[in-house]
Amino acid sequence: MKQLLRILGCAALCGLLTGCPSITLVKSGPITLQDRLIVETTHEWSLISGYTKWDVLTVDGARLQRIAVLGGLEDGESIFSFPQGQKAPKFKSSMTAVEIAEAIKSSMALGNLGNFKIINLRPYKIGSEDGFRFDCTYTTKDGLDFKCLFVGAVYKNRLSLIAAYGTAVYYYDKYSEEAERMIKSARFI
Amino acid sequence: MTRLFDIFSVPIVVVCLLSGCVTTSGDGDIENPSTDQIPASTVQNLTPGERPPLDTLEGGLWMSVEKIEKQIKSSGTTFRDKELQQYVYKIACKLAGDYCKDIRVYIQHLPLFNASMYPNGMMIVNTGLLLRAHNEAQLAAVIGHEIAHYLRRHGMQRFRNTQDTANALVIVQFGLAAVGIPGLGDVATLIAMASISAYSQDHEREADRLGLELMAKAGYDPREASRIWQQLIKERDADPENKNRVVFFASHPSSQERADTLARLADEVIKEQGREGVTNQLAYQKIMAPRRTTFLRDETQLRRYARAHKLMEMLADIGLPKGELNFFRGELHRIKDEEAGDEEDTSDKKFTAALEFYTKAIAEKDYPPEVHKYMGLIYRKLKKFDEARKAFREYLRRAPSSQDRLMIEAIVNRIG
Repeated sequence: MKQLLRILGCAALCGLLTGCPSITLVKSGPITLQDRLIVETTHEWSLISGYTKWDVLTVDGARLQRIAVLGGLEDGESIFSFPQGQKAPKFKSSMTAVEIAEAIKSSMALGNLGNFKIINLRPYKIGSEDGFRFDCTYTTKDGLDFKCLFVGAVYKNRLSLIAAYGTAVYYYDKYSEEAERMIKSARFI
Repeated sequence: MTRLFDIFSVPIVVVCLLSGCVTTSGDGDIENPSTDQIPASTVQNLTPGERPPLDTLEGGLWMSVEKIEKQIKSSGTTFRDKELQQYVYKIACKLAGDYCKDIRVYIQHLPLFNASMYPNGMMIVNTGLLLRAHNEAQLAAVIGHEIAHYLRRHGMQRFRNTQDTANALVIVQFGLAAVGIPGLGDVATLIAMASISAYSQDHEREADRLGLELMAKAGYDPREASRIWQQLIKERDADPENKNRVVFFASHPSSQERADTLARLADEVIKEQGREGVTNQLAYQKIMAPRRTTFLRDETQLRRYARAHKLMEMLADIGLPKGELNFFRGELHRIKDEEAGDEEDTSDKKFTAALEFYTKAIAEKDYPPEVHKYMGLIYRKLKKFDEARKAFREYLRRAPSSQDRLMIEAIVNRIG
């Protein structure tokens, strides 16, 4: 009986551990994110995964700069996670880029990020898939101005997004070239 | 479930205990009241320019609130619009008289109906309140209520009461546990919470009465105080999700009771003063006009469909531009999520309803060019490609420098 309890305890612990958020170091080169996208990096990055539905790559800390990847959002799911009961825009595979960009903007507003502005929403390809891209700016609740860019495509009815964020002063520009390289290299698996 | 931006954002805790909050979930000159116009009971509690000594409980409380004020000043949710801020501040000054210099107004870019006043004179006004007030007198009613909280030091009184109740609760729970009935501690907690709640309801009633007197003395029509509450009741009642709200622990008197009391008090004040006062609706709506699209968009994004429809219906009733209001009512249909099991809201039905409102919008002079874009998106989904193309082209003609021009052109090209 004791043996059985030990085995069950170990199994439960393993289950808990695998579901936990993790931070790992990723080396430069190709990396697979969310079993959906491959991107090439030329830096070493800290990869934060399992905390939200996004995988987050950062060097100087996610509060200052980050490149975030959402692998494959399915119909009826929201783009970001919200507290239960909060009505957030949901993705539908029939959405156009215009509607997806607006859903991102609405989500940002619901997350209390002030003055989110979409700049130059335009067509863009991820690999060979038709998608979209836009630049953006916003202000955090504690008053910090950010620049950002979003690239996305609906592939096999699922939405994939790559977003780069950084403080308007210094951090966004520091990693913008690397972000561009990663976005250009992105391919669906 | 994790929360949005948990790891990226710094949460600001709203210390409701410290603040007085107003929440639910004829034009002409106005006088500036002097201190002697504010009822005597108020003046004896707080004098203009007064700042409590730092070594007192109240002084410590002010220091804590000043930290919150620093955060509010730089917060990304602060609506940075000097003209609007000055306008609201001027109204606060008319009501506060000699206390004007002690009050700072911060407008928060938040769509919920709310205003709050902190013990140190920091006043928060949400854009959701500015959208809902029909005129200056209605806004003055809410601001007057908040100033009353400040003058009567309600934040301080509530803080002390909560502290005393919490201390008493600990003693009661220890006592109950000592005699072997720890389960009753939960009952004691409920009673304590209800007592704090009742205490704050008394403050609300007092602030309602005093706020109404302040607005009437400043020359506003006091009946507007009751009217803004009636508007909120209509909005709330339109929302099926709010009908079963438990009011026992609400920190405010029920809205209907509040509206009735305010209406009765307003009649008494008008009788006493021998004048009805002004609403300043034209001046108010002139200030709000260039900001209204932003406020309506925020409201739409909350996805409280029934409530938002009722709100926009009421705004249309007072003569606000129907083109803009019908556009956003169309938007409420277009973005409505198809909830599981909600057979009423199939895509075709919601698109038809949206198109009806968009069509009404473009029959007016003052509609935003985006109407054509969203008509195009719906026609495209309904596979009415000719109509879609026509609508998109009209959008691009009316908004040639829009930020989504290239994407819309690409969509038109794909339609062929």
